[in-house]
Amino acid sequence: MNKILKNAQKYSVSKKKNAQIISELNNLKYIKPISLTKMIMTNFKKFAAIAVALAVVAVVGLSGVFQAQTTYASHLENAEKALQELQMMQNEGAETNEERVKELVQEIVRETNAALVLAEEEEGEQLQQALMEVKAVQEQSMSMFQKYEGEGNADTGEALKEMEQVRERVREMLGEQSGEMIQEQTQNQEQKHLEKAEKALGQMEVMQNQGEEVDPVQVRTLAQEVVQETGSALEIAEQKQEGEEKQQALMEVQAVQEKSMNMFKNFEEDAVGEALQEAEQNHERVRKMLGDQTGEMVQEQTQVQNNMKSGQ
Amino acid sequence: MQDDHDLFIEFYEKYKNKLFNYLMYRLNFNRELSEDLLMDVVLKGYEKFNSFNQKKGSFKNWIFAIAHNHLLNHWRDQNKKKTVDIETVQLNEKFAVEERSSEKANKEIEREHIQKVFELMNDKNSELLTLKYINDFNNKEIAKILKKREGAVRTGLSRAVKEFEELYKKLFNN
Repeated sequence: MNKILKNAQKYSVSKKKNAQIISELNNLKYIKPISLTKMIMTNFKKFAAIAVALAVVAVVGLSGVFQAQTTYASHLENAEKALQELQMMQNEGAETNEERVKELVQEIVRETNAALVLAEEEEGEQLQQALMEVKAVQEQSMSMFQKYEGEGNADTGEALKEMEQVRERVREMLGEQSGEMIQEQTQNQEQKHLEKAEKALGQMEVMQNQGEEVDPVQVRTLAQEVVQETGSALEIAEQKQEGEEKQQALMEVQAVQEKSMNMFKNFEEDAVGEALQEAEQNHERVRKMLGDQTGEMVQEQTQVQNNMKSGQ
Repeated sequence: MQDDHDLFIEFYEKYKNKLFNYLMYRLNFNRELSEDLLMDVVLKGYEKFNSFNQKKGSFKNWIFAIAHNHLLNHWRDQNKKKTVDIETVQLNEKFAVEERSSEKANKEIEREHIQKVFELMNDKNSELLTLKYINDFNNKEIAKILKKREGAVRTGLSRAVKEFEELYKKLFNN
């Protein structure tokens, strides 16, 4: 079913509406200026003249085209350029131009933040790579900001604090992502073991359906494989944290176990006896974990109830 | 050097189709309405851009949370519920299937089936499936957008898949 859902139709915004939205955004630019790096922006915001604004809106409106295909990497490049300039200013040792430092710090914060937004769009390994690149530039910037903060520049102190918090989120994402990947791999392993068990069961079914005399050695090997694979899947399921996911995994194992036990009963005991015994033991273990009552327990309870009734 | 306005437009370009797909699947594939609401969501996002805080989460989660809330407000204002019923879809399907099967590729027919099922699904379930399979969010991200616990999202998703399966089988596997 998931496969079907993944084939679902994807739509695109029409060019006409897209142009209209961009035109609206450009209109808003001069009414409601926005700021991504709000902390040190106030002194730097420069508004274009209304005439220029109208001209821009007209051009965008007419062409209906806006090219903004920048990637996270180009934002990182911008941040690095600003960083280099900061570095040069520091190396020169001349009196610091406070205004320029502010501008550069502001640019670095904005560009690394923009890079992060776009980096988060990447997937899988590329996402990890992109996040690591963003983190590297953030850390470079932070160490540069620290130098300026040490020289008494209060704005860089604030930027440093902000960037540290965003960097923390990037670190979390990197951690989370690898955690998720491990979880996915474990889940895959568990599924692979169950798939192998079912494949062996399928072979046993074919042998049974052929109705000819079966080779007991081959049956024994297949039965052992089934028990071994379901056992491995069970081990992985047991290690999961208590909760719905564990319950689900155990139920999947239980289903294959029950299928196996039914299948084994179709063959000679000499060939499958050991495997059946082991499968029954493992099955019992799963039932206990799932909180099911065993047949024996139910029987015992019924007997106790009957005794009580006859005693009355 | 880009300013924040240009940055917002860059982000818009990046996410516009994802947002649009979310709206299409939530609004019974009504293109006109979806485009209008997309504009509302984007303009609202622009106005609130100052409040977007990267320390708290990604832009994608933030803008989708705006879209989710905007849709809820839209429905509340319209006081509108899904009106398509399963019998109508089955009837339409019965007449349409022969005509189309010879003309369209199976994939296209399957896509139409998916859309019909989405139209009939419970709103909450169809939203979960849209975020997961159309927008490719993971459970954690969905939880953040909908302001729910991750466990609740997981359970909700399995319920949603079940509903989807049942409707799909009922309508198209007979």
